[in-house]
Amino acid sequence: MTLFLKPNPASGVPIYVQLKEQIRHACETGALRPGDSLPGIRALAESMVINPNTVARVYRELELEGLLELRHGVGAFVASRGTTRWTAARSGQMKAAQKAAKSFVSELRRRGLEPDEIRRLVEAELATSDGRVPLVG
Amino acid sequence: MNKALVYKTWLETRTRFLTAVVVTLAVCGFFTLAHSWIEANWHRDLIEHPEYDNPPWFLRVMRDYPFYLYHFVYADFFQKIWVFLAVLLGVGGLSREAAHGSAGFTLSLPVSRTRLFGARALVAIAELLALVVLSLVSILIGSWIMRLPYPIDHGITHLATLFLGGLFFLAASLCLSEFVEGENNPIIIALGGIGLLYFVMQPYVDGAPLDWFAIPFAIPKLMAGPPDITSAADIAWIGMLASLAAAALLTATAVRRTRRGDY
Amino acid sequence: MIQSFAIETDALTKYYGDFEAVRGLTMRVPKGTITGFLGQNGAGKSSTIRMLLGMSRPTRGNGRVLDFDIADEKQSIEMRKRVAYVGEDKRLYDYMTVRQMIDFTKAFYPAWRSETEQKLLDEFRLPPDRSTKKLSKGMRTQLALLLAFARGAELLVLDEPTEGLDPVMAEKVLELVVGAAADGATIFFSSHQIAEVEQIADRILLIDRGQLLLETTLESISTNFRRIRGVYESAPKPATLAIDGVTRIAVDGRVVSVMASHNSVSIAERMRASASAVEVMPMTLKEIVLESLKRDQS
Repeated sequence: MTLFLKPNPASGVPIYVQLKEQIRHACETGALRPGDSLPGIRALAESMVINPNTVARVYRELELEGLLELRHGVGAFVASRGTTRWTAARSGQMKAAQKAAKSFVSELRRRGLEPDEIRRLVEAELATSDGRVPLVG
Repeated sequence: MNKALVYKTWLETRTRFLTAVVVTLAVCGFFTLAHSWIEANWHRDLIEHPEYDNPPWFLRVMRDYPFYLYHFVYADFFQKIWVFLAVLLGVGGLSREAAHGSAGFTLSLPVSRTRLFGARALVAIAELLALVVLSLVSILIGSWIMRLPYPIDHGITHLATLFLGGLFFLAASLCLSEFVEGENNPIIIALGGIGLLYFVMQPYVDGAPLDWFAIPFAIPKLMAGPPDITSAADIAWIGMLASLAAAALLTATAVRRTRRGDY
Repeated sequence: MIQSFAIETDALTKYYGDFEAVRGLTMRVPKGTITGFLGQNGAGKSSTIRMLLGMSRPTRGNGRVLDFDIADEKQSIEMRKRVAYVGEDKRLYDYMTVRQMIDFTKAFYPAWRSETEQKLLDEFRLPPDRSTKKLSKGMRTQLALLLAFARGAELLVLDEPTEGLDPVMAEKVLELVVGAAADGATIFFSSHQIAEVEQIADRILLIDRGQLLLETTLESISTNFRRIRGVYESAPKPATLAIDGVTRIAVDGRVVSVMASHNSVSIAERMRASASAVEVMPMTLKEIVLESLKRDQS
């Protein structure tokens, strides 16, 4: 399977977050379109060599977020209703976030911080918050 | 499932068993086929070396073929080899597997330890029986080839006592294997014990009357039986049953040990 | 709510002579999870597994596997019909060929999956007619795993399943483990490869010197475990840092480093009262394990 890349357990980002990001990214770039089916839990777990419970959880959470539709007994599909709106809103958000990140990083570099120091600051800040990402929409 | 266990034990003991078969056929074959050659040598010794001390059985062995077989096969030479073979067939079990590393696999099978032991004991007894039958067959054929008349009941009776007595040593080996660790240690220890037994019993085997304190160790004489017996009725059943009871006790001890052991 | 556990123990203890290999181990492995069993060599992992599978008798305490009592031989046999075990000693029967080992093992498990057997025989490229004596260590491991995965077991107990395997085969094994889990099996595996455990496990159990040090989920590790460091003017009294959630305290000059299993926000606040430059950082599984195994730091 080449649609998704194997997550990196040592990256510091939890595996389920990486998988969620990959699925969202695939929807944004159009690799997955509304109505497309996603691999079954077993198949995805096997091809990425990750825990099936993790895959199940990601699918569930993305269903709650409105990105996926889980049809009982059939599988997971990219939600057809409102996805275009969702994706557009989301990619708008991503663009704005990218801009914010760019100005944040260049400001800190201007102040003389090294990339590693910036990374540590961000990680520490994320770790201090309660770790839960607010649901979109 | 039982078939699989028996098959496993067969594969495990196959090499040993075939070695035992070769040894048995070789020894029994030798004494029958080489009879005239041996006799010729004795005659020559009698004439050329009158100063040689002749053992008490010597004269009879020369002229009495069944007694010749009795002496060399059932009572003395082959008997010692027979006992060793019985011990060889009984070696194995979980201690041996633990030394080898496969005990974990065997013990994770959904089989009781008693059943594991049972398969091992069953195959060993069957192999011992096969050896005894082969002895008889090879003696009969060898005698026929050499045109030496040999009453079949003589052979059957003596090989029966050899088999029944052999069960004791088999049980001892099964039991020892459960207590002693290592792949070859049980054999070494058993050999030591047997060597001692025969060393002590040799005078009685040669013909000295049995002292009272030697009776519990008299299994070699029990296995040989009186030289001329030809039917089941002549077998020393009291002694034989005592020996079988001892074998049963050893087996029960072995089962208990295998059931309670930590691996 | 009834939780069903694949493995549960209560104060399980094992003495070998005077040596206490397992000390009062109480743990639970929920069904349908992949649990990593971590610990140094000699920590008691294999002793624990041997008791669970009926190979040795507990000195004290009790345990249940798939709801069967481990100390009762009849129940243990019933349990073993549903369990596949691959031990650290991956030796099989020297006197059998690959084919004979498969046919032998098959006879004991009615739920045997022939498709899995054939698939693995091909994928592992195991020569059916070669004696197991002549297999390399890696191939022996693969055969042992084939015999385990083809059983259709409800619980797989694997001791170092990827030991001696090249990276491609190791990943293949993890794939098989994940596939079995997707089919509903519970996996209990011990490993020294922390990266593997992080990749596929739901939960971990850390054992040291016969005792349970840590029992937690991988999720808890990423959301709750934190390292909190602060710079102190003078060394604080340990009592001031004895807050709920603190599991380890290390002092190095003016820097105090705390490992917290939860409650990191309150701990950081408490430290900020008397320390400067208080940082809160996430911890990897490897860091948590190494930190937990350090001998008395207080």
